[in-house]
Amino acid sequence: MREVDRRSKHSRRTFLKGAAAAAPVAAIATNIPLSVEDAWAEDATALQPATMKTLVKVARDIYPHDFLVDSYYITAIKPWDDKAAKDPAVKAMLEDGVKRLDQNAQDKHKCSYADVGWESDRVALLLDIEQTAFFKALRSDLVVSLYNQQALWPKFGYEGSSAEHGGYIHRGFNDIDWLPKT
Amino acid sequence: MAKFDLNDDSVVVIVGSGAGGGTLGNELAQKGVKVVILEAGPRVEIKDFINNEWESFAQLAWTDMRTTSGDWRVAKDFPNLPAWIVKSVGGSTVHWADASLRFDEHEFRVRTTYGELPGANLLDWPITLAEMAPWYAKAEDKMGVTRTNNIPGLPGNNNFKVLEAGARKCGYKEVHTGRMAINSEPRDNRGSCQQIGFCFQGCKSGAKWSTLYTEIPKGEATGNLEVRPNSMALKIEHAPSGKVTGVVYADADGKTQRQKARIVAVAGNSLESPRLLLNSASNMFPDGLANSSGQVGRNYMRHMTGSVYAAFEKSVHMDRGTTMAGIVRDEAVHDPKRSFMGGYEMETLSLGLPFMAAFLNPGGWGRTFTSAMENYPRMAGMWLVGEDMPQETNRVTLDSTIKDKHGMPVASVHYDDHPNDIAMRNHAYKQGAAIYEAVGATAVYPTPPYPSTHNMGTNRMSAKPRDGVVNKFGQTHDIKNLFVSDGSQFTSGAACNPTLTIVALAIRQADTISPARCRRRKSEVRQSGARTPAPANPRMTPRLLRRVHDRHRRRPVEVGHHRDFTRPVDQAGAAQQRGEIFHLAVVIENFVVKLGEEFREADAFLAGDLFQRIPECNFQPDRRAMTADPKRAGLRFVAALRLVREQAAHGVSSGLLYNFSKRYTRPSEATIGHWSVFGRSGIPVRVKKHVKTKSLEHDRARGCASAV
Repeated sequence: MREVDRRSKHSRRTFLKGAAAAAPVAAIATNIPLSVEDAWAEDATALQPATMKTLVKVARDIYPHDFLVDSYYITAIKPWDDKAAKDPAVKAMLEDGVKRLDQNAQDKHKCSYADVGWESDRVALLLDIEQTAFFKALRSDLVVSLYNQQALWPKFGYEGSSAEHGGYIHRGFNDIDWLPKT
Repeated sequence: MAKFDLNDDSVVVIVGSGAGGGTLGNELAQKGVKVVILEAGPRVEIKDFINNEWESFAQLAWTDMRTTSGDWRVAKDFPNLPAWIVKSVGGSTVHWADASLRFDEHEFRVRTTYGELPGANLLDWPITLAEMAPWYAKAEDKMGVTRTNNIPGLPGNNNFKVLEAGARKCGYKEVHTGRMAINSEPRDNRGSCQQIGFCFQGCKSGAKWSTLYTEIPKGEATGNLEVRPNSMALKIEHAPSGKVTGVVYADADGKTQRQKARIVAVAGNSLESPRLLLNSASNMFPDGLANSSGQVGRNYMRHMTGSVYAAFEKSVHMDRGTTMAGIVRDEAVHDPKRSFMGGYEMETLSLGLPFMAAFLNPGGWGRTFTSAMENYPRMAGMWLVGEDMPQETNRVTLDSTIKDKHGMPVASVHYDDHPNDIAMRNHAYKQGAAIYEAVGATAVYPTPPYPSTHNMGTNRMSAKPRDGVVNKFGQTHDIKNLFVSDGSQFTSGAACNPTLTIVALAIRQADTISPARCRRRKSEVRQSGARTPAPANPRMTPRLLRRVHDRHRRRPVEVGHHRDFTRPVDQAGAAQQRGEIFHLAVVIENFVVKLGEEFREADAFLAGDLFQRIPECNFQPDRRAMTADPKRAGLRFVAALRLVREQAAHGVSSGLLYNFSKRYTRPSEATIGHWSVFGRSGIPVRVKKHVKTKSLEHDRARGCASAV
């Protein structure tokens, strides 16, 4: 059977370099401690960087795929910043949602949501807010904004558009080779 | 291409350009009738299609506001997307999967076959499979359906091969790559399937049939058809006489236009068609057009539906190739032993990764969900599509608060699953899982229904005006020059995908509307020198084309009556043989029904008791029943005949006929219960009407036994 090459077309390193390059020059110049990994969050204009980082953590906890690096979750979450900039109600929903999540985490685990160690503990916190507009909006947006990224499709063995390759008629539409004979 | 004046009141206006509207438009144009098709969506051509699920969804799908209620899961998961249909020229034939199956014989007679079912508003169609057979044949030829007209089946893809292997292991017999309106070899100036996948996103090779690039351009080439895209019908207007006079619509710029019309045919899908009729309410028709029965919008059906996806140890890559070219038909029969009425098909189905995330388990998240998603390349998938029960309360109404951008109330869709639907879905989930587990599935995912792609029944056909909205030709009972031409005509949904039936009905309707039909009939009458018999019901006489009809109105024309329905199906000899068996089956079937009724009437006390004890299923085609009870040769015979009739309508093999005659045509003593009903010739000759107490007691005892 013809299998799909699941290796990333771009490495995590190049992505983070790109993100770092886009970080505000002023922030770097004023010598605020800023790791390369965090640079993308500082880009946010409407939401707090800490909120963005928590949202990315939440995104991974909602749809955990251990073979996906953070960049995919960041790409999925980033548009919320634009939406928050345009609509104060969205901004309030996100900031309040994260605040409540952090508060619940403080009450239970004496730390912020992002610092809760085990995924199962964080999932328990998410289950508490599963019926809130915040969680519902985040999840229903994420199911598209995460899985609709073409860059991650090969990791799931999905090849996307096929017409420009002449379909699968010569590319293994019937190449299954392990079925018992009927 | 034609361009008709807004004030040209000689045109037929069709609302919608999909399987019903697009087909009707071309058929009429071919017959010289002037047609304007109003299509709400834009004209998106093959070159514009996108092999990307969400981008294509944004390009094609009908995403205008709709609201939902009821206990169906779609209302919870997709409250403003009850239906997944297309808003562009070609309608849902742009994204349909192309499974093209005929109804079974009993599926036109659901009230008779299923009996009275609490909560279900069952009604027999005013037409039979025999009447539809020639129109099905025309539709199959038009659409180039594989496994008909000597067109070979499509090659099976990986997803099919898994289904086939599993189904065979489970003992299923009727397993193949389907009857698909997708070219398996070049035909009708279109190429053959390139196994692209993305059938739901518009076929980039044009191998699959869609009115967008078959019917519509052909109609336009005649100079008789004008398609107006971006034209949203708002209201159908009528004269004080009650006849409709035209359609008010919003054009591409949002400006209101009024196209006059001689006939209006509504084909806007089962959600928009009733909405348009309801939105066209007037002083004369305060409940909406053609709604004297109160049935407009009611009996909404969307098929039982559900999917089973399964993960395997090794790769499948189900998304490669034709999406739905694979079917298991064994469960499509009516077999009440399964504890539900009607049947269902199992058809291969795959989604791309983005849609799989959205539809596998809507609302799902966490490790359970993502581990399933990570199985994507190792998944096989099937769609379960079965007959759902029509219910009066499942209906499309006008939303009381929400209006569209033209100020018209939007459609609100209420749907509750009938217990029969739920029982069928659970059975189908079980059988679907068994198929995949038979070839080593490591995980099975019973996936809930998607937003409805098969929308049916909201302007249903009925023999009597009080039971439905349109007659057997799709002509509304109330308004003679108003037609319905889409799936909303369906009296019941059947197990199979609806498009072939919609197309067949549209071809038949065009034949009813067009002047050519009348001329041909007239000449036939002249040749034979016989008087055309007056139709039993004057409503059935279409008086649509005044100018043509006026000339010979005094001689009403009987339409759609085909005694010779078996002839084109096969070669002459076999057809004659089959025809005889057909007629025998009809005679015997009628006889059994009559006997049952007589018996019921003859002795209410005994009959009630006895008939409760003889399960209804003994009068149905039931494969297992045929071998279960050797004493009931008569019932076996009836059941077998019914099967043969069903099979024959689908093109029966000679082997089956041979086996049939060998096994069932010489019963030494055919009986129904204890009444001898057949003479030696196999023709019913005599019924012992008096009832012996002894044999009744015997029957009771046996009835008890069989009930257990």
